[in-house]
Amino acid sequence: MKISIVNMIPKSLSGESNQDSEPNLAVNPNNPLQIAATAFTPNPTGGTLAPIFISSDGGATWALNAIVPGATAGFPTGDITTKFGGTSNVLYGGILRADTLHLNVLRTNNYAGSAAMTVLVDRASEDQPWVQATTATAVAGTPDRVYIGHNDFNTSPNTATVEQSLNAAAAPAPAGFGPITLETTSPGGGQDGPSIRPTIHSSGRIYIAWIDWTTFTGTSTTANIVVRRDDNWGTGGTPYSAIGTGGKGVNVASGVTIPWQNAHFLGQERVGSHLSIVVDPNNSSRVFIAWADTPVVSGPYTIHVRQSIDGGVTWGADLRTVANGINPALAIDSVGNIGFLYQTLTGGNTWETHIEISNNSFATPPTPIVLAKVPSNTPVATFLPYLGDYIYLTAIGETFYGVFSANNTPNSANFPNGVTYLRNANFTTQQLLNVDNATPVNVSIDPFFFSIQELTFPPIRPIITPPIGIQPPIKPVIVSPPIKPVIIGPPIKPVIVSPPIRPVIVSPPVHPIEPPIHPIEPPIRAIAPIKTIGPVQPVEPVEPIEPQKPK
Amino acid sequence: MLKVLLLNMPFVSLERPAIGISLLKARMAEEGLHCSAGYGSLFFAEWVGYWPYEIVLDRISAAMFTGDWMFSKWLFPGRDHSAYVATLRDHLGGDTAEFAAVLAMAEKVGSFLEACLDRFEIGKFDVVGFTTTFEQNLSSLALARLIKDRHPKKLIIFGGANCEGVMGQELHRRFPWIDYVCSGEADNSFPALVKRLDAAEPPDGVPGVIDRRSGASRLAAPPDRIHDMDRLPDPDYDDYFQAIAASSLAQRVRPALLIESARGCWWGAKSHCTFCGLNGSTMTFRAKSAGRVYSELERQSARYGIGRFLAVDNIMSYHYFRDLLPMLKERNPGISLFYEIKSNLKRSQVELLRDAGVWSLQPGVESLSSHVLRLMRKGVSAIQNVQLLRLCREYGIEIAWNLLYGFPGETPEDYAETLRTIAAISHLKAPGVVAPIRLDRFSPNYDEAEHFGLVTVKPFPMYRHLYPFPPESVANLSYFFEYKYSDGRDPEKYVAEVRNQAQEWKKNQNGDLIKLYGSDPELALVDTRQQGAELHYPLHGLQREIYDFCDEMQTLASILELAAARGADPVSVELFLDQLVKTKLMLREGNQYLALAVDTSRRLKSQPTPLRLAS
Repeated sequence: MKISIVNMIPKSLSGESNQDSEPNLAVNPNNPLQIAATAFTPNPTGGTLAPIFISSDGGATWALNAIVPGATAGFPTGDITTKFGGTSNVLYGGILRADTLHLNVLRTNNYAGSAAMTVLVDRASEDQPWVQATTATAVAGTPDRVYIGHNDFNTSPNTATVEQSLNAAAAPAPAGFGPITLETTSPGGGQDGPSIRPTIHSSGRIYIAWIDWTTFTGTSTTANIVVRRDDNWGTGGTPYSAIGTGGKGVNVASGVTIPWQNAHFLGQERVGSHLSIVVDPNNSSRVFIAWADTPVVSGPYTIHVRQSIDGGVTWGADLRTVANGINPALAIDSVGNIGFLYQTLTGGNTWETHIEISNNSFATPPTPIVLAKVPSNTPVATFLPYLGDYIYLTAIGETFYGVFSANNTPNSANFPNGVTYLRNANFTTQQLLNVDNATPVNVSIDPFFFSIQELTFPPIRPIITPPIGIQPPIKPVIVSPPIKPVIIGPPIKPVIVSPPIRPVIVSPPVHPIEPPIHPIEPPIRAIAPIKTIGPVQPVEPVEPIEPQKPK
Repeated sequence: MLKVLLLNMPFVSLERPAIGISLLKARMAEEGLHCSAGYGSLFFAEWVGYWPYEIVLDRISAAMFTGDWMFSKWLFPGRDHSAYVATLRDHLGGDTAEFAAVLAMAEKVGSFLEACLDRFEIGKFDVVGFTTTFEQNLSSLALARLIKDRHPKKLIIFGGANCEGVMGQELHRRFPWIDYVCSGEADNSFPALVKRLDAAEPPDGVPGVIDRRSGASRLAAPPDRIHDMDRLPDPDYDDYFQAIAASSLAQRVRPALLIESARGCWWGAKSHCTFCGLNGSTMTFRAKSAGRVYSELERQSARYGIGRFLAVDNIMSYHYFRDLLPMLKERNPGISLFYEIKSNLKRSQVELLRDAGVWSLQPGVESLSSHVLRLMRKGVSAIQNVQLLRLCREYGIEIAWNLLYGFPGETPEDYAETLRTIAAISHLKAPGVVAPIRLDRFSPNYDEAEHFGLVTVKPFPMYRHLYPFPPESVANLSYFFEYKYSDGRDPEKYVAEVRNQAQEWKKNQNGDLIKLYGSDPELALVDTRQQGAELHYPLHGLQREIYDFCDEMQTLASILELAAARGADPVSVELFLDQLVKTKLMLREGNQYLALAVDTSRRLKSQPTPLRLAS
């Protein structure tokens, strides 16, 4: 198992000391080297676009790319999550934009490009959009399908909602997006909890979990942890009604107490709504859920993990509990290992970020892998959430990818499984340094990316050893020349005149395995006529080929 | 009866057992002798932390010998290490977390060695054997020294690849606490030596054993070689899995099993690649029979509940294409395999590898210039290498390969040609590293350095930080050497752009060149290698037929023959081929052509065996 942990702040921002909290992550399933991440990170150059973090090397290095609309001075963005389509390379975003706090659903087909993400939906009175996306490869046209859990106050008190599109990649705004209200019980709390979490199986089975507030006192709620399911991509007249009485979903837990504390409740962090759900990519009936609650407001805030093996109809007892835990995040890899990421306050003064990986559904409790173990009292919070109301874990193949925020003191002891800082830092003096690599910089909260490669298949023996001191020269990324069709020289004159010229028709791919063909704007047109070879003649030329942009 | 302990010390991978001592344990059992195996490597990782251990294995160049250095620091106290530490700091990019962790780890070596005495219950054993390969020398020497200091009567025996040839003799000569060295294959010599010792007989004449009975370190006779590989027992990995199960690192370690289906190199026996020093004095190729390999895979998989196997063979037996691989395909035992392999494979062979569960390969690609490949006596051409890269991509077989340079006789034009090839294959797997050849002991480049134009041969500079001995002694202990060229060349000058482009290749593997079959056109080549562009090349009729014909490399003559049979004009065919080459849809080398577009439908026909732990 290979663990890699990277402080994502680029070297060029070594002087920053922002509270880069509430991180999220999107790994392109079509090319896991391409990763986008988000946090409450301001644009260092100001302006009306907030940045996302981008990596094109699997998370080893990161840069900022300001493409998120709505930034204002000192407030880059409200809640933000992003995800890639399954094979489309399209990145989708759900944000509360900073200037209006409206829900915006966003899209870009070039996560690393400089163009601002396209706004597909803009709507007021929303909270905590949580994006999940895939490409429906078994559906004609292989459309991208996007599901965004969010809390829609336009439908209060039934606020738990999913915003979904069944063909999100190409169509103009709103690209098929529209809200579906999930809640049916008119919660006594006047709304549902902020966390609405979808998870997608490639068969079209969608689960959505939320926290149904049955009562709300201002500092505490009584709630049910609810799961609804749909077996056909959320389509049909009564979507998400596959399980539960009347199709209204199943309570995983009922009458739990959840403190609602927008104050320093655990360390300097607030609590109120922590929830995660994930379906096994190889078994659409195996699904895990995690949430946090407490028996009494002053008691230990505790994460619970449970499993259903019958498609969410019934749920087992707690498989794992973590006292003083927040930010549960679940993922299942391609061979069924379940990953459980969380943060826990230990000793009253230390935030530890753990991941547990189980190959037997937690039948035997796995030893937690400690990703970070940092002071909880420094730096002083500048706003809440301190670390974030969520972190994220996902899996591609047999590799887990995740992101969390933590105190960034460059101390090896804080990262017992290692860490790489891109920003300047001296681990001997345990001091952050500015871009001049000399001026001290204050400790702050940074986002940390990690990957855990379950399967390593290294060569048995190194064939060569790069000599010491010879490093590959550093070279700036070359920006490719403008898109231009290749022009093949003058047409070869056929000996025999070919059949009539006709435009090229790009047939639908027979085997759309990887990557599928997606239109490239502008609309496709034949660049040059293509001649086909006629019936076999005594002497027949082979015609030149010319490139065409696809339809 | 003597009690024997075999130790596997740092630094080696934690994720696989030591096959050498595991095989010896099984051989000892065959001879009625008992021994145990201990994993000092795992214990050290527990002692210092998995991550610091991993830094030495994965993050630091092997040419730094950092693992050896930290044990040398303990073994030879009082030396000035400031120069080494400064170099290490530079190597790790300054005062990074890695640098701090490595220094902290070095401080724990003494306490670790002391703890080993208890952990491995050294007092209970009469003989302690150490296996040493690559960076295990100093850790083994350090613990052996401590054992001898505390228990002078215990016998210390060294074996492993670091004991082959003059290296074994120098180890024995320089380190008096080593009683015996088993040099070369020890399947017979080690049990024979233990039997003699057990009987209190002098180990006279045991082939492969170095002793100092005459006052000097002396090899009694060349070691026996195993001729019939089928007669070897299955390695006994029980101690490894028991150690993992009891370890605090059990959560971190994902074990794979090792299998040795062959020794030596059948290609090397015919044409020794000039840079390769892997086979020492045992180049003769010997392979287990297909039935034996298959049954061993089944037995070991069932015994340890693991289906992932790494073959330690230097090269896969060609016979396995006839027997073992079809057997694995047909019986489908749920096993996945890694092999090193010669790269001149055909489609049918790559497909068979995939169907047999060979999930990962290390092919001997080494270069994209046929001239350079000839210089290194590789026995393949550049276009064959590219064919393999494309076929492995099509069948979803992971490959690891390196692009080597610095071969005497190579020319700047070789790398200009390499650049042209790279420009056409950016959609295929990039090399892991682009690096100059290392001069290894036992390689033709080392043995015949002057003949190859290599001069001023001396051990890698970091060896001097490990051994406080005269230069000739350090040279005898060394395996890696540096050199200069007799013609004064500096390959970096003509390779720089290849290095740059290979870096870009690795970083930007986003584009693709794939085949899409349909009705009109019959075949579209979709090219997204140019960033931001998506070009479709429709091929019809004979165009499609020719392109598919070049799925495996074809000569111009055979292409023209095909075209002629369809009544096509040869001039237009050549022009068509020129177009394909210019647009990087086809690779041409000499009069041979190879289609470059990937047929992504191949992967679906049968997926490779899933790599799931059987337990």
